[in-house]
Amino acid sequence: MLTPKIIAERLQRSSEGHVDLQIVPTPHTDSLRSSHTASVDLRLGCWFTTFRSTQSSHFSTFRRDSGVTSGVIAPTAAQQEKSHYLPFGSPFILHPGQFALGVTLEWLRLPSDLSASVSVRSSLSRLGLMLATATGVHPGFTGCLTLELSNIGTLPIEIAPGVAICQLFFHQLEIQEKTVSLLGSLAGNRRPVLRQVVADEIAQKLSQPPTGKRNS
Amino acid sequence: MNAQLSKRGMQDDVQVSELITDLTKVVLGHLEEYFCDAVGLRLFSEAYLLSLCYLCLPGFPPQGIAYPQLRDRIERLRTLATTIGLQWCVDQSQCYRYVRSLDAKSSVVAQVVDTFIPSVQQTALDILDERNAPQRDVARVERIARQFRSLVPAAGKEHLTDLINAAWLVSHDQDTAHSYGLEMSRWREVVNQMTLKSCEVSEYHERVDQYVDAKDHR
Repeated sequence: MLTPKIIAERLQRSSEGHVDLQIVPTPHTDSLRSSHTASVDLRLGCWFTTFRSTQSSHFSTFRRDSGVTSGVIAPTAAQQEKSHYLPFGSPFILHPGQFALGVTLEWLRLPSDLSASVSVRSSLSRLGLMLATATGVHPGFTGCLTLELSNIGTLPIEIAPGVAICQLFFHQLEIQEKTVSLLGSLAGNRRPVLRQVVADEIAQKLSQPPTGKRNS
Repeated sequence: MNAQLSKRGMQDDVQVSELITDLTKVVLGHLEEYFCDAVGLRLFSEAYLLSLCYLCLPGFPPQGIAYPQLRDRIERLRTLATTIGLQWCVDQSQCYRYVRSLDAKSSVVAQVVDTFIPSVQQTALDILDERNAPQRDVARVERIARQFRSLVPAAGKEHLTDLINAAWLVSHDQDTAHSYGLEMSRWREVVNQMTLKSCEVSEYHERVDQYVDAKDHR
């Protein structure tokens, strides 16, 4: 895991024109150097995605024809989600049990020898705010991080764009891969990204009733 | 005396009066377009020309007499761009696709409009200069373009005009797109995202600095 001093040095290198770790808006490197934590705090961005209640009974994580129940064809995930832009200073209330996608204010670009993991700031998690656990960021990633926010507490939690919400820990790869995918489908975005669940063929086969035939 | 009488006679003539009112409206409409073009060019420099080219030229439908001909707008912009020291970057061959034939009414409008265009353009420039509207700066645009080419938005407080010019500069950059293994459409999508993110980051700095300034003044 990278120490704050090394993180500051690597941010400094990229500001001098080298291809290295970049975070925009850039954290104060002086504060990082004197920091006793091994992480960089990231702030909440202005875009949120919430999910509408629909006629479908559920989302299947493995069927291609997910959502077909009682003859009602569920809208696609894209139709069920709703994107919101909140300007700085506007609150977003996350109610108990509610789930929403947020995004980091910071745009990251990781070099090919660094990966990172995200976790919610402990002061917020103690109020019941959760992010997806162990969110990994792969080497070469570029873009804003999508944050899976949920409130598992009993009181509504008010958050707002610009709030320091999570922390990023950096890890150095032991062997540096030469090629990294810089712009996969989840990268290069400033809004939360909802990826379509890929149909799992093996799970689909297993979900079919047995035919009684045995392959020799 | 005779001239005054005939002028009064024309004004009293309902048909002539209607024609004059009608032509005046059209002339004002044309001048508004030229005014807006001058504002756009002064604010967004080459980016304005490129966006005009992008929006208007491919399949741009012919417009009625209420609008100046695209060819004339482009010609006037070209002159103004040279005057204020901008690089001309529009493929003009496309501009002459739809040229309206001028009837008597259009000819009168064109002649009247022509006499006012320089002063209308100058007024637009003066208004923006008085208000210190930012102008794109080549060095800043290059710096931001370098950031975009390395897949990172601009990190500081930037002017919108510099961001948009940098975005136009890199959006046609095939070498960069191919170096990341991207199709041009995906590359442009990423450039869009980086440009809009840069605007958010600029606003963030603006707001934080304002707060710091306000605190210092207390």
